[in-house]
Amino acid sequence: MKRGKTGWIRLAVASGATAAGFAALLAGAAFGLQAVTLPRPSDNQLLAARTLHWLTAQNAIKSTAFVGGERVSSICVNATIGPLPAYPNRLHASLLVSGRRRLVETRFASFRLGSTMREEDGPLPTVRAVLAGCPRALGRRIGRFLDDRAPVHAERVSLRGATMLRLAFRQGDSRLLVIVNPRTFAPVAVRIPRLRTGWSYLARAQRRDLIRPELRLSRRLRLIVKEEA
Amino acid sequence: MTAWLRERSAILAVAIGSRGLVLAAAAADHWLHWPGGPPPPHGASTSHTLSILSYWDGAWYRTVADQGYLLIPGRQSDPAFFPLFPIVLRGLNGLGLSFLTSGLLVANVAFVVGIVAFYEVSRRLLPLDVARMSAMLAALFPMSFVFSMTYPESLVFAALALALVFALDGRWTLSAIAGAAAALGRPEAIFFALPLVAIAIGRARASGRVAGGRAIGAAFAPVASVATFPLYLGWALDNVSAWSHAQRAWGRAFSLDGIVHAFQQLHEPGSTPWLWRDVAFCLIYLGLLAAARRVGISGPWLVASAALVLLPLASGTFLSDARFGLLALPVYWGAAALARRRVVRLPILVVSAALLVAGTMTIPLVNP
Repeated sequence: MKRGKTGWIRLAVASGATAAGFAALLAGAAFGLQAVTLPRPSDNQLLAARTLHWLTAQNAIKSTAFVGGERVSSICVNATIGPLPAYPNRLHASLLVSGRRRLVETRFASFRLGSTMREEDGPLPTVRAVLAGCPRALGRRIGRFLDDRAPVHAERVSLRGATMLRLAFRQGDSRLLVIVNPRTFAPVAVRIPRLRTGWSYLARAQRRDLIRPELRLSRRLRLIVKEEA
Repeated sequence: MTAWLRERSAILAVAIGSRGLVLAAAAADHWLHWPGGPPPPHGASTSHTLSILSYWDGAWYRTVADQGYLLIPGRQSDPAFFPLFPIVLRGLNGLGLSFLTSGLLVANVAFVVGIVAFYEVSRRLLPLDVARMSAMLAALFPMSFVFSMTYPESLVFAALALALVFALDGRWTLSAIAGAAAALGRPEAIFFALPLVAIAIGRARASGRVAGGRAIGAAFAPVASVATFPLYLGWALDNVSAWSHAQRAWGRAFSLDGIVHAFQQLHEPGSTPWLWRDVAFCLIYLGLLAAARRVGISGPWLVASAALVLLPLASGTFLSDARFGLLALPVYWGAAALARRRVVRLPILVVSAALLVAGTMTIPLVNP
């Protein structure tokens, strides 16, 4: 049987519609299978992931804390460090400046900067970097809670007259409290309850914060530590 | 049924035997504590005799099966892994099996099914001796230890082979379901939409009619299925680009100059020498595809397979290309074409089996 032009067009349209319908049906089934079988993260874990997303986009954070009734200001800048004898590749790092003290913190080791560089043992340097809101250190801490799918508790709090969200992370002995802006998800305060420290208040560093003389490294140190901000 | 089994008994024996080799080599690794290597990442268990088969990505698939997806910005996270395998693991875990047992069971059973289905595809396209040899070579292929790991490759291999054999028989609904499943396991399965379209058109031409809607729909089923994963991530994580963000954190970002970066990476200080294994297999796959062309494998099959082998390089690295190429089915036809002469047949099978054992034993050293 011979088909006319209209017949062929009609057949092609019918075939196309059947193909599209068939593929759509399968796609619907595939989507449904994923939606029904796989668990979804909690809304609070998604909030925490957004905070982490905000942090990964930052190069420098300034912070204020009250230690022994005294106000301590810090600035933390993303940096790289290396090569070092134990670490031949350059490492992502945070350069933390509190008063005259300068610290370089990495995932593997921390160093105090003076006229030379000295490795610092123990967890304290990392704790300092987290409390100073160093994007990499704080991001790593939050990321680790999320890696372990630690439950995140969120509640509305008022801070300086504004409504904020307080995210509480807990996994075993490890705890972290972060207050975030509910609109931008930027962390505005951080606290590690186990250490009985007070809150550190965080803000994005401005251009004028980055020209502080303490951030200027000697030529020798600049060969090893490079700021990214 | 008995005749059907008798015809395939040699292939089944090689498929099951090859899995025996892989499992025995993995057990030997565990008992001998050799070759050591770094501790497995991301909390993979080391206590079970066959633990090494669940290392590397296996630990991530387990996390997805257990806890679902979560994109963790700035870190390696699980939306980089496609959902079919975790869904199956979760289903079996719900029946009381551990994730490790479920993963090993699914991977190895799916592989044996996949080898038989691959043989069925081969015998519809090639002479019987080449079809039989290609199935045996696929079972003993040096990198095929991956098919016994808690990775989705064996499931995708089986689903792809079934999609193609159903298409060759004109059973389009079954082909569509298998094709969609394959693409939900690994995104590379979409390349096989090309031979599926060619089969649909070829069958339509042979019958003197236009290709039916169901046939075309089945050919595009893998594409439709792949598209649902970003949609699902958009629904579950409020982020339709979670997959590409996660890929970037794993060091894979597709770009026009990605292939140049892949070559540059080979000479970077500190880059792993294991990359050269991937380079070698990439070249072997391309050579075998050229051999497949000589036995009459048509363009769409070869283009799909070449894309499967070469496109990952556009992400800037050769890493894991040896594994990705395992799903390029015509590679085994090319190998069988080269092994057609009786003199080379046995040595190729023996060398493949030896390399298969050696490859299994290196699992703790590097992510395949």
